[in-house]
Order: sequence, then C-alpha cells, then structure tokens
Amino acid sequence: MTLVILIAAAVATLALAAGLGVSRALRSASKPDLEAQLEPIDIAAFRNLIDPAEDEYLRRHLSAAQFRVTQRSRLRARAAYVRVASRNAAVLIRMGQTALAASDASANHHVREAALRLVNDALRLRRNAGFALLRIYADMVWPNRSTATAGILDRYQRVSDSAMLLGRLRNPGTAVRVTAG
Amino acid sequence: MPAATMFQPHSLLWHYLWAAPNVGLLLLAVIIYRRSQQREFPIFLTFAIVQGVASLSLYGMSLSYWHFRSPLFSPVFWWRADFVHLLIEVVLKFALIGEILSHALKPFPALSKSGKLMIRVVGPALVLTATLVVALSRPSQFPPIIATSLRLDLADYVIECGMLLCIFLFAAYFHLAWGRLAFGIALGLGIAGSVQLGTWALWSNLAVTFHQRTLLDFVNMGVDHLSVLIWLYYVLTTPKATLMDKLGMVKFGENDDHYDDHDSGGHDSGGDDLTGSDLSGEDERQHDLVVWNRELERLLKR
Repeated sequence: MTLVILIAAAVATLALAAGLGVSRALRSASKPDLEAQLEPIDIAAFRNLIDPAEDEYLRRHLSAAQFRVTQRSRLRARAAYVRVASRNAAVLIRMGQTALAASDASANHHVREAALRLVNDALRLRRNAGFALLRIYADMVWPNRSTATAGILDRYQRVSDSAMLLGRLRNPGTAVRVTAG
Repeated sequence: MPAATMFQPHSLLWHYLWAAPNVGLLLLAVIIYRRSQQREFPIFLTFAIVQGVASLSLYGMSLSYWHFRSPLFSPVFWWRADFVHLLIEVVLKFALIGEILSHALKPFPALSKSGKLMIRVVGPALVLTATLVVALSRPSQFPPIIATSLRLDLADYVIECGMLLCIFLFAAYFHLAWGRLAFGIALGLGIAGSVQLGTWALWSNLAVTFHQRTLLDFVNMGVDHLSVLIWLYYVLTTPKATLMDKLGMVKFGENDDHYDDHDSGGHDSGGDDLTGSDLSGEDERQHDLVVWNRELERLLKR
C-alpha cells in the first residue's frame, strides 16, 4: 500500500512538473486571445441569488422540505456563478501578467501599476472563490445554513474596475468586459 | 549518488554518470557567478557548489579505495561521510525549495500570506508522512549506517516531492507566471525528486536483487544528470543580470507595498487606489533614480 501511494505521488509530481514545462513552452509560443475567454457575469442576477433577504423570504413562505430543495437549486446556481468568476479571475491574472511583461519593455509605469493591481486583485478573487465554493458545497449538505458570498461579488466588481483601467491604458479604443447586464 | 553498489567494479558509464553531473554542478556554479545570478539565487549557488564538491569527494574516496586500497577511506568511513553529506544536502534542498517559493510569490503580495500558510500546514504534515513511510518500510538487510542513510534518503524525497507538488499545484491553480530561472530550478528538482522517490520507494518496500539495485542506481544517476542539464539550459538561456540589477536597483513598482494582503475575507479597506497620477514623492524620486541609472547603463555600453 505504501509503495502504491509513494509511486502515485512520484508520478503525480513528475506529470505536473512536465505538464507545467510543456504548457509554459506552448504559452510562450502562441498568443491566445485572452479577452475572448472571459465570460461576462450578470451582476444583478448574482446579487439577487446571494441576497440573504431572499433566503429569509423563501424560508418563511416554503415548507422545510420545499425550502431545502429550492435552496439546493439556488446554491447550485450560486456555485456556477462563483466558478465563472474564478475562471475569469484566472484569465485576468494571465492578462495582467502579459501586460506586466510588456510594460517591462516599454517602461510604461502607468500600465505596470494598473497591471500589478489587476493581477493582485484577481489573485485574491481566485483564492476567495475557491474558499467560497467549498462553503457552498458544505451548504448543499446542510441547506438551512446560509453562507455569505457577498464578498465574492464585491471582489469581482473591484477586479472588473481594475481590468477596465488596464484595458483603457493599454488600448483606449477597446473595453474589457467581465460583467453583463 | 549510487547507494548500494559502492565499492564494486563498474562500467565506464557508471563512472561517467557519477562524475559528470557533479562536474556539471561546479560548471553551473561558475556560470551562475559569471552571469551575476547569485544575487537572486544565493542558495542555488551554494547548493551547486556544496553538492558538486561533496559528491566528487565521495567519488574520489571510492576510487581511492577501489584502485589503491587506501587505508584512509574504509567503507565505514565512506558511509559516514555520505551520511553527513546527506544531512547537509537535505538542509540545502529545503532552503532551495524556500528560495523557489519566495521567487514564485515575490511579484504577487496578494498571495504571500496564502503561500506562508501553505508551507506551515503542508511542512509538518509531510514530516509526519515521511516518518510514517520510513516506519512502514521493510527492515533493511544492510548494516545500520547504510540502512539509516537509505531511510534518510527516502524521507528526504517524500518531503521534497510533497513540497514541490504543493508549489506546482499552487502555481497552476493561480496561473502564476514564474521567473524563468526559478521555474527551471523547480523543474529540475521536481523531475529528479519524483523519479528518485519512485526508485527509493521500490528499494524500501520490495526485496530487490543486486542486479536490480544496480539498475535503480543507474536510473537515479541518470536522472541526476538530466536535472543538471535542465539547470544548465535554464541558467544559460536566462538573460544576464543588468547593471541595474547588479547595483541592487529594484525596477519601478516591483517592491510596491500598496497591495499588502490586508484582507482575510471578501472586503477590502479600499484605500489602495492607485492610478498613475497618485505617485508619492518617494516613488517619483525612485523613478528619477531608475531613469538616471538606465542612462548610466546606456553610457557604459557605448
């Protein structure tokens, strides 16, 4: 058993190291359209979905069994939004890092500052989205418990502002959109 | 390092695979020094020198015993020296992993707390796992000094691979763009560590014959050689440090602390708004200094 676990750990490390090396080489060889990978989020709908008042309203007007079923559906939708926010954060991290690398050559410190800000905000969003997803999955097991995910929304809006600022500085004619509605 | 096939007659390939990676490490140290990369990676330079010198010394001792029957270097003495070398190597490797992590996270203050937390949680867990793995391995047929060295090797690779696995997963999850050389060092260490963890796992948990031990030694030495070649490639293809780097100048904005990880939840204090027009006097002075330095550098290149 120990042998199997050790061999599995060794293979996982080797595969991950090789995979990172290959993806790094491929990434530097191709210039993907990162903006096309962004999936705008309907902020109003998301806000409605995480509104504690909505949860309370449903709790008061539905039976306990109906509330659990409804709440699980709402939590699944919430998780889907958080996953999209997390994916967008990953794309924005790459966009920010690309801008940082480009600003090294051009020595444009305005772009550099905006890119640094975007990268750090997007990193925090991705980290918090991971924790939020864990909390949502825990809530699915016990739907009567209500977890606050409003922080993700605030963070998302902040990242959206950072992305807009960087987009305007780099290319004033094109706007980076990560929100819809 | 061949562990159990010491003091046996060997092929030319065996001698090459023992000596060449260590000569390569010393060459690597010279190149790092000449390219002024030691300022960024002091532990990697120390690792290359110590590992190269120590392994070549052990190789020399083995040759001296085998060819000249030197009374100075008995097998027991050799294994004791190897054990001391292992202890130093373990300390240096963990310091090197710390150096890699700090380089990977340096440009991203938002992740510094998470990175430290990861090490605090994963480190002790890996030490416990390594202890358990060593305790569960089958009793060794070798004398105590050799058996202890082998167990230390196994524990070393369990912790090393675990740490590197966490760093790779962390970087992959956050899509971090590593510095070229930091990535190259991690890649070499990861490939060598994972293969050697596999071979030590086989060694410690199966009854391997002498012939199989020799084969495992060849695999370990071969992968050591591969990792040195990877490091050489990355060191040689990473741009040389500029005069600005040599003078210790930080590129503008690089050491900004505007992005301190001041939030633990989802809310920010919101006080770190930064646009180009918000530069403080200190930043302006730093910028002037950088511009002045760049001009000086250009002048020197003429």
